[in-house]
Amino acid sequence: MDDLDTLFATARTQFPPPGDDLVARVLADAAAQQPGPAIPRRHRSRGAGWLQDLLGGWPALTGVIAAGLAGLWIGAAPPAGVEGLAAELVGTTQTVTFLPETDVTLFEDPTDG
Amino acid sequence: MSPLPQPPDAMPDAALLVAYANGDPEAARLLAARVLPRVLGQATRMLQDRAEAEDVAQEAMLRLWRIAPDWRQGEAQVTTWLFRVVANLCTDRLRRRKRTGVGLDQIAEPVDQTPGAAAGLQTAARLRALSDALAELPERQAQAVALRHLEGLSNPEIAVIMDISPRAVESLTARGKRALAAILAGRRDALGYDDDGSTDG
Repeated sequence: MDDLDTLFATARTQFPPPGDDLVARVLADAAAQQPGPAIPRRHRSRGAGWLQDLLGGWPALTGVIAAGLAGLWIGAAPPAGVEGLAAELVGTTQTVTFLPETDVTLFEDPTDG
Repeated sequence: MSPLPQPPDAMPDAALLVAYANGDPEAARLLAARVLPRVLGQATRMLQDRAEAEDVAQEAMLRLWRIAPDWRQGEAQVTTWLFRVVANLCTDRLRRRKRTGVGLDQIAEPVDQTPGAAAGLQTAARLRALSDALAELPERQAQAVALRHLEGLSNPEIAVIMDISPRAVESLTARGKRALAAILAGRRDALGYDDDGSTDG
Protein backbone atom coordinates (compact mmCIF):
# COMPACT_ATOMS: atom_id res chain seq x y z
CA MET A 1 0.00 0.00 0.00
CA ASP A 2 2.99 2.35 0.41
CA ASP A 3 3.48 2.55 -3.34
CA LEU A 4 -0.20 3.32 -3.76
CA ASP A 5 -0.21 6.03 -1.10
CA THR A 6 2.87 7.56 -2.73
CA LEU A 7 1.11 7.54 -6.09
CA PHE A 8 -1.98 9.15 -4.60
CA ALA A 9 0.18 11.84 -3.01
CA THR A 10 1.95 12.50 -6.31
CA ALA A 11 -1.34 12.75 -8.17
CA ARG A 12 -2.66 15.24 -5.63
CA THR A 13 0.11 17.66 -6.63
CA GLN A 14 -1.21 17.89 -10.19
CA PHE A 15 -2.89 21.23 -10.79
CA PRO A 16 -2.66 21.87 -14.52
CA PRO A 17 -3.83 25.39 -15.38
CA PRO A 18 -6.49 25.53 -18.08
CA GLY A 19 -4.92 26.51 -21.40
CA ASP A 20 -6.17 29.38 -23.53
CA ASP A 21 -7.75 26.98 -26.00
CA LEU A 22 -9.79 25.21 -23.32
CA VAL A 23 -10.88 28.54 -21.81
CA ALA A 24 -11.97 29.73 -25.26
CA ARG A 25 -13.97 26.54 -25.85
CA VAL A 26 -15.66 26.76 -22.46
CA LEU A 27 -16.59 30.44 -22.89
CA ALA A 28 -17.83 29.82 -26.43
CA ASP A 29 -20.12 27.11 -25.05
CA ALA A 30 -21.27 29.50 -22.34
CA ALA A 31 -22.10 32.20 -24.87
CA ALA A 32 -23.97 29.73 -27.08
CA GLN A 33 -26.01 28.36 -24.17
CA GLN A 34 -26.70 31.61 -22.35
CA PRO A 35 -30.36 32.59 -22.21
CA GLY A 36 -31.13 36.18 -23.25
CA PRO A 37 -31.66 38.88 -20.62
CA ALA A 38 -35.00 38.56 -18.88
CA ILE A 39 -37.52 40.87 -20.62
CA PRO A 40 -40.57 41.88 -18.56
CA ARG A 41 -43.88 41.02 -20.20
CA ARG A 42 -45.68 44.03 -21.71
CA HIS A 43 -48.82 45.09 -19.93
CA ARG A 44 -51.83 44.30 -22.06
CA SER A 45 -54.10 47.34 -22.11
CA ARG A 46 -56.36 46.56 -25.04
CA GLY A 47 -59.81 44.92 -24.96
CA ALA A 48 -60.85 42.57 -22.20
CA GLY A 49 -57.35 41.30 -21.47
CA TRP A 50 -57.47 42.40 -17.84
CA LEU A 51 -60.82 40.61 -17.33
CA GLN A 52 -59.50 37.50 -19.05
CA ASP A 53 -56.46 37.48 -16.73
CA LEU A 54 -58.68 38.05 -13.70
CA LEU A 55 -61.02 35.17 -14.49
CA GLY A 56 -58.41 32.74 -15.70
CA GLY A 57 -58.42 32.85 -19.48
CA TRP A 58 -60.83 32.48 -22.34
CA PRO A 59 -62.56 29.24 -21.23
CA ALA A 60 -63.62 30.80 -17.94
CA LEU A 61 -64.61 34.05 -19.63
CA THR A 62 -66.88 32.33 -22.20
CA GLY A 63 -68.49 30.34 -19.37
CA VAL A 64 -69.31 33.56 -17.53
CA ILE A 65 -70.77 35.13 -20.69
CA ALA A 66 -72.90 32.03 -21.41
CA ALA A 67 -74.24 31.97 -17.85
CA GLY A 68 -75.12 35.67 -18.09
CA LEU A 69 -76.99 35.23 -21.37
CA ALA A 70 -78.88 32.22 -20.00
CA GLY A 71 -79.93 34.22 -16.94
CA LEU A 72 -81.10 37.10 -19.11
CA TRP A 73 -83.17 34.75 -21.28
CA ILE A 74 -84.78 33.00 -18.30
CA GLY A 75 -85.64 36.39 -16.84
CA ALA A 76 -87.23 37.67 -20.06
CA ALA A 77 -89.14 34.52 -20.97
CA PRO A 78 -89.33 32.13 -18.03
CA PRO A 79 -90.09 28.56 -19.07
CA ALA A 80 -93.29 27.01 -17.77
CA GLY A 81 -92.93 25.81 -14.20
CA VAL A 82 -90.17 28.22 -13.17
CA GLU A 83 -92.57 30.49 -11.31
CA GLY A 84 -94.18 27.49 -9.56
CA LEU A 85 -90.76 26.16 -8.68
CA ALA A 86 -89.71 29.53 -7.28
CA ALA A 87 -92.85 29.63 -5.16
CA GLU A 88 -92.12 26.18 -3.79
CA LEU A 89 -88.52 27.04 -3.00
CA VAL A 90 -89.16 30.46 -1.45
CA GLY A 91 -92.40 29.41 0.18
CA THR A 92 -94.63 32.35 -0.65
CA THR A 93 -95.07 34.78 -3.48
CA GLN A 94 -95.76 38.41 -2.84
CA THR A 95 -96.88 41.09 -5.18
CA VAL A 96 -95.53 44.52 -4.57
CA THR A 97 -97.25 47.48 -6.15
CA PHE A 98 -95.08 50.50 -6.45
CA LEU A 99 -97.82 52.75 -7.73
CA PRO A 100 -100.99 52.26 -5.62
CA GLU A 101 -104.21 53.13 -7.38
CA THR A 102 -104.87 56.12 -5.13
CA ASP A 103 -101.59 57.68 -6.11
CA VAL A 104 -102.08 56.92 -9.74
CA THR A 105 -105.33 58.86 -9.77
CA LEU A 106 -103.41 61.99 -8.76
CA PHE A 107 -101.70 61.99 -12.10
CA GLU A 108 -104.78 61.23 -14.13
CA ASP A 109 -105.86 63.89 -16.53
CA PRO A 110 -109.15 65.32 -15.18
CA THR A 111 -110.24 66.11 -18.69
CA ASP A 112 -110.05 62.45 -19.57
CA GLY A 113 -113.38 60.68 -19.49
CA MET B 1 -7.51 35.19 -25.50
CA SER B 2 -7.50 37.45 -22.48
CA PRO B 3 -6.87 35.75 -19.14
CA LEU B 4 -9.84 34.85 -17.02
CA PRO B 5 -10.69 37.53 -14.45
CA GLN B 6 -10.52 36.71 -10.77
CA PRO B 7 -14.04 36.73 -9.31
CA PRO B 8 -14.77 38.49 -6.05
CA ASP B 9 -14.61 35.88 -3.30
CA ALA B 10 -17.75 37.14 -1.62
CA MET B 11 -20.02 36.17 -4.50
CA PRO B 12 -21.19 32.54 -4.20
CA ASP B 13 -20.84 30.24 -7.20
CA ALA B 14 -24.60 29.74 -7.33
CA ALA B 15 -25.18 33.51 -7.49
CA LEU B 16 -22.82 33.74 -10.46
CA LEU B 17 -24.63 30.86 -12.12
CA VAL B 18 -28.00 32.57 -11.66
CA ALA B 19 -26.52 35.83 -12.98
CA TYR B 20 -25.34 33.89 -16.03
CA ALA B 21 -28.81 32.43 -16.52
CA ASN B 22 -30.25 35.95 -16.31
CA GLY B 23 -28.07 37.06 -19.19
CA ASP B 24 -25.16 38.70 -17.34
CA PRO B 25 -22.39 38.59 -19.97
CA GLU B 26 -19.56 38.66 -17.42
CA ALA B 27 -20.86 35.92 -15.11
CA ALA B 28 -19.62 33.00 -17.23
CA ARG B 29 -16.06 34.34 -17.27
CA LEU B 30 -16.09 34.88 -13.52
CA LEU B 31 -17.52 31.45 -12.77
CA ALA B 32 -15.19 29.68 -15.20
CA ALA B 33 -12.22 31.43 -13.61
CA ARG B 34 -13.25 30.01 -10.27
CA VAL B 35 -14.27 26.44 -11.09
CA LEU B 36 -12.57 25.43 -14.33
CA PRO B 37 -9.09 24.86 -12.79
CA ARG B 38 -10.66 22.57 -10.18
CA VAL B 39 -12.69 20.71 -12.80
CA LEU B 40 -9.67 20.22 -15.05
CA GLY B 41 -7.54 19.16 -12.08
CA GLN B 42 -10.03 16.48 -11.01
CA ALA B 43 -10.29 15.12 -14.55
CA THR B 44 -6.50 15.14 -15.00
CA ARG B 45 -5.83 13.31 -11.74
CA MET B 46 -8.34 10.63 -12.62
CA LEU B 47 -7.57 10.18 -16.32
CA GLN B 48 -3.86 11.09 -16.57
CA ASP B 49 -4.45 12.19 -20.14
CA ARG B 50 -4.42 15.89 -20.93
CA ALA B 51 -6.65 15.78 -24.03
CA GLU B 52 -9.23 13.54 -22.38
CA ALA B 53 -9.20 15.66 -19.23
CA GLU B 54 -9.81 18.82 -21.25
CA ASP B 55 -12.70 17.19 -23.10
CA VAL B 56 -14.24 16.13 -19.78
CA ALA B 57 -13.75 19.61 -18.32
CA GLN B 58 -15.43 21.22 -21.32
CA GLU B 59 -18.33 18.74 -21.18
CA ALA B 60 -18.82 19.28 -17.43
CA MET B 61 -18.88 23.05 -17.90
CA LEU B 62 -21.29 22.69 -20.82
CA ARG B 63 -23.66 20.75 -18.58
CA LEU B 64 -23.34 23.50 -15.98
CA TRP B 65 -24.31 26.19 -18.53
CA ARG B 66 -27.26 24.09 -19.62
CA ILE B 67 -28.60 23.52 -16.14
CA ALA B 68 -28.17 27.19 -15.14
CA PRO B 69 -31.75 28.32 -15.96
CA ASP B 70 -33.14 25.55 -13.71
CA TRP B 71 -30.59 25.94 -10.90
CA ARG B 72 -32.20 26.32 -7.48
CA GLN B 73 -30.04 28.23 -5.07
CA GLY B 74 -29.64 26.57 -1.71
CA GLU B 75 -30.44 23.04 -2.91
CA ALA B 76 -26.93 22.08 -3.99
CA GLN B 77 -23.45 23.54 -4.12
CA VAL B 78 -22.07 24.15 -7.59
CA THR B 79 -18.78 22.52 -6.58
CA THR B 80 -20.55 19.42 -5.23
CA TRP B 81 -22.54 19.14 -8.45
CA LEU B 82 -19.36 19.51 -10.53
CA PHE B 83 -17.47 16.90 -8.50
CA ARG B 84 -20.29 14.44 -9.24
CA VAL B 85 -20.49 15.28 -12.95
CA VAL B 86 -16.73 15.10 -13.48
CA ALA B 87 -16.49 11.80 -11.57
CA ASN B 88 -19.25 10.34 -13.74
CA LEU B 89 -17.72 11.60 -16.97
CA CYS B 90 -14.31 10.25 -15.97
CA THR B 91 -15.60 6.78 -15.13
CA ASP B 92 -17.37 6.78 -18.51
CA ARG B 93 -14.01 7.54 -20.14
CA LEU B 94 -12.23 4.89 -18.09
CA ARG B 95 -14.84 2.31 -19.05
CA ARG B 96 -14.37 3.22 -22.72
CA ARG B 97 -10.58 3.04 -22.32
CA LYS B 98 -10.87 -0.42 -20.81
CA ARG B 99 -13.24 -1.56 -23.58
CA THR B 100 -11.08 -0.24 -26.41
CA GLY B 101 -7.87 -1.42 -24.77
CA VAL B 102 -5.98 1.89 -24.96
CA GLY B 103 -3.13 1.06 -22.60
CA LEU B 104 -0.02 2.61 -21.23
CA ASP B 105 2.18 1.69 -24.17
CA GLN B 106 -0.13 3.52 -26.56
CA ILE B 107 0.18 6.86 -24.85
CA ALA B 108 2.36 9.24 -26.82
CA GLU B 109 3.08 11.85 -24.16
CA PRO B 110 2.95 11.83 -20.39
CA VAL B 111 0.77 14.43 -18.66
CA ASP B 112 3.48 15.59 -16.34
CA GLN B 113 6.55 16.54 -18.33
CA THR B 114 8.83 17.57 -15.50
CA PRO B 115 12.49 18.25 -16.14
CA GLY B 116 14.74 15.29 -15.47
CA ALA B 117 13.25 13.26 -18.24
CA ALA B 118 13.69 9.69 -16.99
CA ALA B 119 12.26 10.26 -13.52
CA GLY B 120 9.46 12.35 -15.00
CA LEU B 121 8.55 9.70 -17.52
CA GLN B 122 8.55 7.03 -14.85
CA THR B 123 6.29 9.11 -12.61
CA ALA B 124 3.95 9.74 -15.51
CA ALA B 125 3.89 6.04 -16.35
CA ARG B 126 3.04 5.13 -12.78
CA LEU B 127 0.26 7.72 -12.60
CA ARG B 128 -1.13 6.44 -15.86
CA ALA B 129 -0.98 2.90 -14.49
CA LEU B 130 -2.97 4.13 -11.50
CA SER B 131 -5.57 5.59 -13.83
CA ASP B 132 -5.72 2.37 -15.85
CA ALA B 133 -6.11 0.42 -12.63
CA LEU B 134 -9.05 2.67 -11.66
CA ALA B 135 -10.65 1.57 -14.94
CA GLU B 136 -10.58 -2.01 -13.65
CA LEU B 137 -12.71 -1.17 -10.61
CA PRO B 138 -16.50 -1.06 -10.45
CA GLU B 139 -17.57 2.52 -11.22
CA ARG B 140 -18.74 3.46 -7.73
CA GLN B 141 -15.57 2.11 -6.17
CA ALA B 142 -13.43 4.03 -8.66
CA GLN B 143 -15.35 7.25 -7.95
CA ALA B 144 -15.14 6.87 -4.19
CA VAL B 145 -11.41 6.08 -4.27
CA ALA B 146 -10.69 8.99 -6.61
CA LEU B 147 -12.67 11.47 -4.52
CA ARG B 148 -11.03 10.26 -1.31
CA HIS B 149 -7.43 9.75 -2.36
CA LEU B 150 -6.98 11.93 -5.47
CA GLU B 151 -9.16 14.87 -4.40
CA GLY B 152 -8.52 14.49 -0.66
CA LEU B 153 -12.20 14.86 0.27
CA SER B 154 -13.64 13.62 3.54
CA ASN B 155 -16.08 10.71 3.74
CA PRO B 156 -19.06 12.97 4.60
CA GLU B 157 -18.22 15.22 1.61
CA ILE B 158 -18.03 12.20 -0.69
CA ALA B 159 -21.28 10.89 0.77
CA VAL B 160 -23.05 14.10 -0.33
CA ILE B 161 -21.47 14.00 -3.78
CA MET B 162 -22.33 10.34 -4.36
CA ASP B 163 -25.64 10.52 -2.51
CA ILE B 164 -24.82 7.59 -0.23
CA SER B 165 -24.08 7.20 3.48
CA PRO B 166 -20.60 7.88 4.93
CA ARG B 167 -20.40 4.23 5.93
CA ALA B 168 -21.01 3.18 2.35
CA VAL B 169 -18.24 5.55 1.27
CA GLU B 170 -15.90 3.97 3.80
CA SER B 171 -16.72 0.52 2.49
CA LEU B 172 -16.30 1.53 -1.17
CA THR B 173 -12.96 3.25 -0.61
CA ALA B 174 -11.54 0.40 1.48
CA ARG B 175 -12.47 -2.25 -1.07
CA GLY B 176 -11.39 -0.04 -3.96
CA LYS B 177 -8.01 0.70 -2.46
CA ARG B 178 -7.32 -2.97 -1.78
CA ALA B 179 -8.26 -3.85 -5.36
CA LEU B 180 -6.04 -1.08 -6.74
CA ALA B 181 -3.09 -2.29 -4.68
CA ALA B 182 -3.58 -5.82 -5.99
CA ILE B 183 -3.76 -4.64 -9.61
CA LEU B 184 -0.65 -2.45 -9.32
CA ALA B 185 1.27 -5.17 -7.46
CA GLY B 186 1.10 -7.23 -10.62
CA ARG B 187 2.79 -4.42 -12.54
CA ARG B 188 5.64 -3.58 -10.20
CA ASP B 189 8.33 -4.68 -12.65
CA ALA B 190 6.80 -2.83 -15.57
CA LEU B 191 6.56 0.34 -13.52
CA GLY B 192 10.15 0.13 -12.27
CA TYR B 193 9.35 -0.16 -8.58
CA ASP B 194 12.00 -2.82 -8.09
CA ASP B 195 14.62 -0.57 -9.71
CA ASP B 196 14.30 2.31 -7.27
CA GLY B 197 14.08 0.31 -4.07
CA SER B 198 10.42 0.95 -3.28
CA THR B 199 8.98 -1.34 -0.70
CA ASP B 200 5.93 -3.43 -1.23
CA GLY B 201 2.83 -2.25 0.60
